[in-house]
Parts: sequence; structure tokens; C-alpha cells
Amino acid sequence: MNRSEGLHHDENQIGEPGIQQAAEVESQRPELLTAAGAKSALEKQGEALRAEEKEQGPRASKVPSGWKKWAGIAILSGASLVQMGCGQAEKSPDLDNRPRAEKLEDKEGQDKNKEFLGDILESISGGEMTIKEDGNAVVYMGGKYYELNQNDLAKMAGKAGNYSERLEREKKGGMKAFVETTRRAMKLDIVGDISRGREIPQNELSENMRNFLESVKDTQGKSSGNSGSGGKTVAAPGAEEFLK
Amino acid sequence: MNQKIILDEKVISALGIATIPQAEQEDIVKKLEENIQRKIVLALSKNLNEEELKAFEAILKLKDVKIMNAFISSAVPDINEFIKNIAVSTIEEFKKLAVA
Repeated sequence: MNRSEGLHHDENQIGEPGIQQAAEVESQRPELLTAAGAKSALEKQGEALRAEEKEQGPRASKVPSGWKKWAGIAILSGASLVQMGCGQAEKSPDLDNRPRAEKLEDKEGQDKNKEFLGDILESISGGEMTIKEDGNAVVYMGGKYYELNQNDLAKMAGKAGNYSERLEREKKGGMKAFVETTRRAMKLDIVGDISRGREIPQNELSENMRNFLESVKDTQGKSSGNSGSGGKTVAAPGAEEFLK
Repeated sequence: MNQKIILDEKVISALGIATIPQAEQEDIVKKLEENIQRKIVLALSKNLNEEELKAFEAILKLKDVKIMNAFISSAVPDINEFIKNIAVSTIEEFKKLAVA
């Protein structure tokens, strides 16, 4: 029997292209799992993970519950891990946009923290932070001026305070390697926050500030003030001069 | 229908658990999340050297997710891709094990 003989009685025949298409759709459709199959798979995965954790021995004991907390909070607040794994999340989690957990300190603490934040900024960019009358801050960094609102400023100051405490403890404990790592994380963190602030366009800058930026441009390469690596730093005009 | 429900339905369909009762679906997704988290933590602990591990433990005590993220991002190049790959491979493994 040839193919046409076998199909000619079926009015709903779908023909070869149709069969192929259906097969393709079928192959793309995820296989339906049973509850027992899914549970068994999860158990097997769990067992394998326990074995791996055990295999890591002393190293595994250095994986405190805080790590799991980090993984949970940092990732799930963006895109769910399962959504990502299924290719359903539009983009991978944006770790820079996690809800911030910084607690707001009391007034005295905030002032102290802002002071420390100013020191960090100076070590990063050679610039200075000035609080304007409206409470927003103007910060110079990497050849640009940024404006930070009060809320972001308070959060950054709280964060700087945490880093400050941490660094103090590490210094007292003689943990040099930790101090360096913490400093590195701190700078990256602060730079990231500032760069998310509003960049002040040239036309909003005073002549003083524009001149300053030009002078920095001229000296680039001669000074490593922007790298935070201990090079010569330059004082940037502050907010008073920013206000035209 | 809000976005969250649409996403959840897509996830359930992609996992192949659409015919399983809802309470069990939720349990499966929750446990899968946990397994992915554990794999991420294991992979990270392998990826960091002893000093970095100690430093991160100290940073964890600050309970500041932003600082934790900054540290991890500086220690692991392309952390987002790193996490995504683990999530994808864990789901694939789950599906294979479930039909085996």
C-alpha cells in the first residue's frame, strides 16, 4: 500500500508538512511530569547536594546560613531563580538594584557617617561632597558632577557607617587582607551609587566648575586622583560654587 | 490577570507540572528554588579563595545585601550570568531526573 492509499479515506489528513509541524510542536512541548516523578527528582537533587556539601568538608562549614540568605534575598527580589532557569525571566537579576537594607541612623550617627562618606569620596575621586541648601548633595567623580537626593545620600551614609565600623574592627584585629577586600568592596559600592545619581549637565554648571573640569582634563595622566590608588588628589569646587 | 500570575503559569508550563495540584506545584517550585540556591552557594564557595571566603563571611554579618552584592560582584566576574547558568542547569537536571 502506498502512502496515498493509506490516507485517502481520512478527510482530516494533515499531510506531511503538517505532520512535521506537529512533531516539532510536540518536541518543543515540555514533558508533563507526575507529582511522584517531580518529588523523586527533587529528592535526588537534594541528596546529591548534601553529598557535595559533605565532600567540601571543612570548606562547607565555612558556608554559613548567611550565604543562603544572600542568595535568597539578592536574587529572588529581582527575578525568581526558577523563572530564570526556565528562560522565563526577561533578564538576569540586576544585583545593583536590590532593595537596600541600610538602616537609617540617628542624626548624630548620620552626620558622622556622612563625614566618612566624604572621606571615601575623596579617596576615590579626589573630589568632595557638598550638601546644598535643599539637602541634596553634589559630588565630583571621574570628571563629572553628580547630584544625589537626600534619600540616596542617607542610605549611602548609613552604608559608609557600616563599612567604617567593619574596617575599624578589621584594623583592630590586624586583619590586613580583610581591610583591603573591604576597602575594595566599599569603593566599588560607593562609585556604583554615585554613578546612579543624576549627572549634572554642562549647561547647569557654573563657569568655575567648567574651568575645573577642563583643568582636570589637562592633568589627566599626570595624576591618578580618580583611581583611588593613592595618587595626587585635586579638590573639586563644591556646591557653593555650583550654584550660579 | 497580573504579570506575576502570567509568569507563574509560564514557569509551571515550562517545568511540565501543569497537571499536578496547585499546592504540590508550589512545593515543587519552592524546593527547586532552594536547590538552585544551594548550588549557587556551593559554586561560589568553590570560586572564592580562603581569604575571600573569610572576608565574605565577615561582610555577611553586616546584613547589608548591597554590600554583599558589591563584594560578590567584585569577586566573581559576570555574577548574573554565573547565577543564570546554574539556574538553567539545575532545572534541566530536575526535568531529566523526573522522567528517568
